[in-house]
Amino acid sequence: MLFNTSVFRTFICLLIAVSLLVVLSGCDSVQNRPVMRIGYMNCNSEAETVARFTPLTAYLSEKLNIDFEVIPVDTQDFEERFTAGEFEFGHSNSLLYIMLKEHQQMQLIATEKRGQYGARTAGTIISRKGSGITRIEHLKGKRMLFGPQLAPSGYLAQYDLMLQAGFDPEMDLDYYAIPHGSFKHEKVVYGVYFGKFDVAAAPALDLELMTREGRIFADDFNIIAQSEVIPYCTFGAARNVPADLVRAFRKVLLEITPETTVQFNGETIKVLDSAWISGFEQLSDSDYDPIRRMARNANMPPYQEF
Amino acid sequence: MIRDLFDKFLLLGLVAVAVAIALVLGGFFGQDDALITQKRNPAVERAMQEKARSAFLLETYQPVEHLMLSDRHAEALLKLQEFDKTFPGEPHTMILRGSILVTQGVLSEGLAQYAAAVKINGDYVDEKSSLHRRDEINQLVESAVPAIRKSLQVASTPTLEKSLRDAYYLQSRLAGGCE
Repeated sequence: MLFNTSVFRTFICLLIAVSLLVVLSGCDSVQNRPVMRIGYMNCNSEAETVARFTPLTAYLSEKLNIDFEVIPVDTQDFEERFTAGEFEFGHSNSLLYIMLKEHQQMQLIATEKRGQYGARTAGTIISRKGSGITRIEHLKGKRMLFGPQLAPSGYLAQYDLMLQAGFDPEMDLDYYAIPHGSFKHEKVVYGVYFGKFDVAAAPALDLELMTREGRIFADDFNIIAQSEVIPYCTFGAARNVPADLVRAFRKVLLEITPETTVQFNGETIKVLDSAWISGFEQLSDSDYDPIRRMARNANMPPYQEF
Repeated sequence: MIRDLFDKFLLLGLVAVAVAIALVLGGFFGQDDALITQKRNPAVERAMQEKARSAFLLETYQPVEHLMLSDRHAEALLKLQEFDKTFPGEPHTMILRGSILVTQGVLSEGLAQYAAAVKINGDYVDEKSSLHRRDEINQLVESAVPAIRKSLQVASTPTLEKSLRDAYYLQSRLAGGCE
């Protein structure tokens, strides 16, 4: 009886119409958000990269009203995939930044801060304490372990240091090697610690982190030489990303504090802690000139000549 | 009033207790360590504590200073990392780290370390303290302020602005300004 009244029928129709309107308007707003991609250079593994940078990416999405996707990228593939347009923004080491700046006119956004040097880092050459190897000239005929070839503070800086000291790593070392797989920087340190190699190219940041975590002691090693300080990992954008968006992206990064949080998978997460970062700094492109000088001296990309 | 022997004993007991209370209150019995400490001159106490603290820090951090004097700054920074674990938040770690970072050209982080150390312990700008580093901090401020201002004229960044604030803070503390 009641269900047959015209008032009730009208009410039900109105209710359905309003519900549909609400649902559809919600869908529209989600669909309208542009989708962009951020390529993150893998430090150790794809899984680690995704876990580390997804909350930060979610925060950027929230603040910039853009759906950013995390694209984990192998270091060796980074330039090729960026050039192919697979991602509009990139987070990579500083050598990759100058390669992409040189070849693809990448726009500098901000530099990551981590460790005692803040937005900068350095490369060191280490030997085991008590080995008697305390100067670069002592490296002659020794076995050396390097980090990955495109690592500014794990390969390039040390290679340049040796060349500057008149020591040719290709001729004067007994032999050198690069460890396989992930955690290369740590393997390099342990390679010397356990006596497999005489000397190694260790990033200052990794020595710092391993000391802080109690995995090594400062007194375990001689630091034979240290490079000048150079910018650390860097956020950049493709040349076709509008300048306004680059500025907004930078502003969001620079304003993140250790207390900044993001809602992610039902949890409230500290953005910087989850990404193992202590903040961001705005450097100028000329701050990267020491890396350019090193790359030229070591005949490495983007200035490599055959 | 006093009717029997029991009353006499009771009266004697009361008198004995009263005399004992009077003696205790008069300070004739017992030695209270706290009272003795209070009698010491507080200025002497403070001076002794300051000297002990300075001597402890200078001796403990001597290996770091030694590495710094030998230009082995990277090793000194690693050593400070260990001190950070043993003595978290200790301003002496910060002041030495600041000194190394400035030497290595990392001005913004260096200034931040100096400012944080002075904020916690004003001894570093107090020329009466054996820990003071007034000359070093003064030189840093005098060179850093014009350099940061010049950079700010070219391009203002949050890091440069923070560095200028840190430098001004150190300047005010050198001038005798309080926290």
